[in-house]
Amino acid sequence: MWPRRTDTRYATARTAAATARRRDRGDDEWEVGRQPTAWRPILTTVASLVGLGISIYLTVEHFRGVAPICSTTGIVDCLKVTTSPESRVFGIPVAVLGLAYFLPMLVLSLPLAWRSANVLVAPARLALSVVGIGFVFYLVYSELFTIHAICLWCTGVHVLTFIIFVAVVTGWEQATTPRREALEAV
Amino acid sequence: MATQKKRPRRSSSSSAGANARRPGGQGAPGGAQRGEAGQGARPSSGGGPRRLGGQVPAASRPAPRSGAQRRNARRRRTNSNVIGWVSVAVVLAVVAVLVVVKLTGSSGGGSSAGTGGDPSGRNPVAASPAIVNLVTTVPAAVYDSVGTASQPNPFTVTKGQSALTSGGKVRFVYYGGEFCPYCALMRWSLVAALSRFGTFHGLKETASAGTDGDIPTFSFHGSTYTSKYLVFSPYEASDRNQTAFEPVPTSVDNLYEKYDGSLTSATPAPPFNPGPSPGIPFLDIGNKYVSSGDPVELGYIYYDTATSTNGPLFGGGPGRLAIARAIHDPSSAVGKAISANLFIAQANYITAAICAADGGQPASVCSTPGVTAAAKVIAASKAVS
Repeated sequence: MWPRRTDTRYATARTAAATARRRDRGDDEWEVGRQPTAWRPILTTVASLVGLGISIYLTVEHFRGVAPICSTTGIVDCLKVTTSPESRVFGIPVAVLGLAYFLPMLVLSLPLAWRSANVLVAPARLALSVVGIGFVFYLVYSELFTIHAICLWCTGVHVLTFIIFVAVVTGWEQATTPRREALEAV
Repeated sequence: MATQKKRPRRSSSSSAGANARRPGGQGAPGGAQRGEAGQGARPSSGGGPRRLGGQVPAASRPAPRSGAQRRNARRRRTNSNVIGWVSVAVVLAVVAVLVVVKLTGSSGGGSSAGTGGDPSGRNPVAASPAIVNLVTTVPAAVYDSVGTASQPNPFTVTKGQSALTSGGKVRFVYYGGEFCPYCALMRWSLVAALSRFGTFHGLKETASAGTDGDIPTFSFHGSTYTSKYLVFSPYEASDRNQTAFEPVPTSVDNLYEKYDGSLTSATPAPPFNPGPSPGIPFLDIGNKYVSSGDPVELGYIYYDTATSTNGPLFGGGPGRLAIARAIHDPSSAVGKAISANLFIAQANYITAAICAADGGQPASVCSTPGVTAAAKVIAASKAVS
C-alpha cells in the first residue's frame, strides 16, 4: 500500500528520490539539503506588486499636489521629502521613476520570467535591480544629508527594492539555469 | 497530464529508496528521471520540462554529467552565490555607513537651510528656478480672491515725512537678518509682491536659524532687482548665527532708528512703532509706509503664541518647493495646511503700499481687486507723524 501524500515517509522518500535523480544528472542544486528556490519568483513578484502600488499612490499624490498620508513633523516628513528638489531626477519625479522601475520589474519577476530561457530576461532583471539599488543609495543619501527628513513611503520602497536586489543577485545561478539547460540540450 | 503527474509520484516512492541508495542512478536516462523528479519533488515549480516551457523535449535532455562537469557546475554556482551575497553585504555596508555618518556627523541637526553646506548662511546657494517661478508668477486671480484675508494693515502710515527716493523712483528699504524667522516669512511675500513691479535676478535660498524655526525662505544676498517703478534695497544685517553679515549704511540705520527703534536697546520709536520693542524685519516704502518686527498675520505661521504651539513652517514645514506651490495655489491642501493665503494677503498689502507710494503704477497691478481691497484698509488707517 502506498503511503498517503501527507505521510512523512512519503515526503522523505520523494525528496530522496528527487535528490538522487538530480545527482544523477549532475545538477548540484538538487543535492542533499538543497531545495529548489521557488521563493525568489514569489518574493520578487510580491515585492514588485507592492512597490508598484506605492509608486502609483505617490505618483498620483505628486500630480495632485497632495501630501501623502504620513507624518509631516520631525525627522519623518513625507511631504518635505516628496516636494524637495531632490524629488526630481533629470526633471522626472522620483515617484514616476518608481513606476518605471517596478512595472518592468514586475514583469521580469513573474515565475514565468524566472523560468524563461530567453537570454535577455535574467540580465535585464539583474541590471534593473542594480539600477534600483543605485537609486536607493542616492535617495537615502538625499534624505539623510540634503533634505534632512525621511519619508516612510519612500523607505518602504527602498526596502522592497533591496529585497528584490537580494533575491535577484543571489539567484543569478537559478535564473540562468533554464538558459543553460536549453543550450546544453541543443 | 493528470495521469502523467500521478504516475511518477507513485513510482518515485517505489524507486526512491533504490535511487537514494544508488547515487549513480544506474545510468538512468536523465530525461525520464528528471521528469519524475521535477514533478514529484517539486510539483509547484513544475520541474525541468515545464521550466523550459516545452522548448526542450525530454528526450533531448543532456546526459548525466561527468565528474569534471559537476565540479565546474559546483564551482560556478559557488562563485555566483559568493558574488551575490557579497553584493548584498556591500549594499548593507554602504547604507549602514550612511546612517552611522548621519547619526554621528556634525552636519546634521535637522537643518533644512539649503545653504550649500554653509550653516551660517553667508554663502547661500541659488534658489531653484522652479521655486522662484512659482512665487513670482502667482496668478492675479489668486491675489484677487484672497484680498486681505481679513488680516489687519501691517503698515504704519506716515505723514509729513521726506520722501525716500532713489534716482527719482520710490525707494523700498528692507532691513532684516538671515536668522530671523519673521524675515524668513516676509521674504516669500516680498518676492511675490515685488515681482509684480519688476524682476529679481540671482535669488538664493536659505532658512532662518536652526534655533529659530529653520524656516525655508529666499535670501536676497547677492541678488539684484530691477523695476521701472521703484528701487529695492535689501539689507541682511546678521547671518544665520546672528553675527554681522551685510554692511548697513548709516542712512539706513538712521531710518531704522527713526521708524522702528533703537539699534542698541529695546526702545521702540513711537508713534511709528508704538512698541513694545523694535524689531526686524523693518520695511520702509518711500518713508510713507513703515513696518516693524513680526507681522502679526504671518507670525502665527512660525509660532502660534495664542496656543503656544509651533506653526506649520516651524522646522522647515513641508519644504520650500511645497511652500512655493502652496503660495502659488493657496487653495490646495498644503496651501490650506500652512495658511498660504496669509502670504498672499501680506503681498497684497505690500503691493498696495507701493502703488500708493509710486502713484498707482502700473495700473494693471494697482487697480486689481486684491490690491484695492488692501489699499482700502491702509487708507483707513490713521497717519502719524
